[in-house]
Amino acid sequence: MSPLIKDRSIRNLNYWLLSPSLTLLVFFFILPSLIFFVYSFLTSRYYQVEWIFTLENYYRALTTPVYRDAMLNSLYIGLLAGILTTLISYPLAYYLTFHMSRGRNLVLFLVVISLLGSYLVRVYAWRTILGREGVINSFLMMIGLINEPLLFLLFSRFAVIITLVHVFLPFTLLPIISSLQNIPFELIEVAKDLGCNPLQAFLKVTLPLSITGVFSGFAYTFILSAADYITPQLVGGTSGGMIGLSITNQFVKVGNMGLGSALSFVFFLILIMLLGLLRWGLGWLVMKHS
Amino acid sequence: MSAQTLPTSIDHRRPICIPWLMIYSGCVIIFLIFPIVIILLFSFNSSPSVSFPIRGLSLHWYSEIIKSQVFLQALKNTMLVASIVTLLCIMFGTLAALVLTRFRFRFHNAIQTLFFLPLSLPGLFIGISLLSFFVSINFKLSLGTVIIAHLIYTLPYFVLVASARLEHFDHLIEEAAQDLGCTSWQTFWKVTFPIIAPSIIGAALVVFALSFDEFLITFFVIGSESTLPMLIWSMMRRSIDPRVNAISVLLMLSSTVLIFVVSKFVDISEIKL
Repeated sequence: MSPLIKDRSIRNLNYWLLSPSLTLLVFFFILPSLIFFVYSFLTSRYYQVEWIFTLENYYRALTTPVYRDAMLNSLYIGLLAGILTTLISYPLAYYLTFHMSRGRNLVLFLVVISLLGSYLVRVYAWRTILGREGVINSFLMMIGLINEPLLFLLFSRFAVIITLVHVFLPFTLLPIISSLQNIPFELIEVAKDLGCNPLQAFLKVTLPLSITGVFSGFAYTFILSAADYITPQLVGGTSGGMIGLSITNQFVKVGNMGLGSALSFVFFLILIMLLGLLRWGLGWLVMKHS
Repeated sequence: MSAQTLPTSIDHRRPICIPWLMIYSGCVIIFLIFPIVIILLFSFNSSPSVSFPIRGLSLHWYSEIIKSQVFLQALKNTMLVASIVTLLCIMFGTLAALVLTRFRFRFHNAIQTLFFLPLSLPGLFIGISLLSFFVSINFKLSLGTVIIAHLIYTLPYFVLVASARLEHFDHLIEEAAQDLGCTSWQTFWKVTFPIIAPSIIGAALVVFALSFDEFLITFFVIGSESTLPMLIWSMMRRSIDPRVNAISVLLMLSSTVLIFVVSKFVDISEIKL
């Protein structure tokens, strides 16, 4: 076979062809991440970083109540948004994959548009909808159902969660759809022929085989929501700060980049550990039931 | 292929819950597009408020932004950034997608992970680490830094969309061309390129749409320049500004058109996140 003969030259050629993008990624992705990490051990004052090693940033990130609360709040919101998007997505993805023929591409088209575009616009839309004189309040007042605007709609945790669920729903939907598409249909049929009722077939075949899609769909929304810094500013009001905003402020308003970096890495580590735990737990569950 | 033949074969034992599933799916889709419809509706509202009842329809807000110098400048910057990012992505990404899909080699998986890592990181982390980097090497923030940031952010999407089709590429066609006397250069231009061109175009348009709309990373690395999402952000932070609706509609319209064109070039159901 020719690939074997050309093996060495092809292998070297591969690295050559990859080198432009690898250089790009090394210089503008890996290197910045390393500098970002180094910053978390340095002293900084008024947007300036001094090369004095310190662990104080981590100490402050872990012990200051404001940051601890913001992290917990972000984790809570991220988990809730992740669970909600996953629960909302799965039945739709299931219907789309197995029972929808007409309109299927239209729905996928809508999902892809919302995935790729107008993040800011969609967050803004929810402010318009939930606001004091916004769409819901003015509509309810117009039809005479309420006399006073409902104030809990905007600037609340409720507003943050509904916005995040809406914005990141496509990120959960797509992985679940593609994992369902990969299930060989014969397997479900065989399960039914072997005496499973539709529910058993779903629980024993479809669900375990799509669990990787469920996990990555959940992970996307969980990470992206927990680290969001725009939604809490636009629709969250004062209801429990989120850590993304605290981190942003360290870089943009306060100028304490060391603390900002330390907060980011602590939080990122927590996210990764939680996801690792969840993945292990899901793997164990699937193993046990099959 | 198999997914498309599914509905007919499952029909004969359609469980009772399917109608409910259909109604439910309809509700989710309405939830997905409802906010967009609201923005569209109020962008034509003649009064500046965003409440019901709507008093009258007008194109007032559109004509106001089209005349605004700030808007035109932001539009120009956005187009410039998106075009350069797209061109660079085509150059870097096509090679990467080709190599990653057709050959297995040492460090293949490590390199692939590196390529897709920015996809699963929140914009906050990418933005801040690039900001720290540019500040530490005294690199002035400008549209140039925005282009670099967008390139890092869009490259994984480019490779992802371009690979969807490349994975089904049949190498035997290339070997046949070479057996018939083509040089490798001729083989590439006469056989490989025409086959992969649609997915490259599709992926390029996805990149353009992403760059056009990017905010979370841009926010940190843009300095004093402006792009359309930055303009929307500065306008909507102040107060309820009805012009935001109009700009938003224009922004959404452009991404819808772009994705529509994308769907003509690549099968969007093959885009795996």
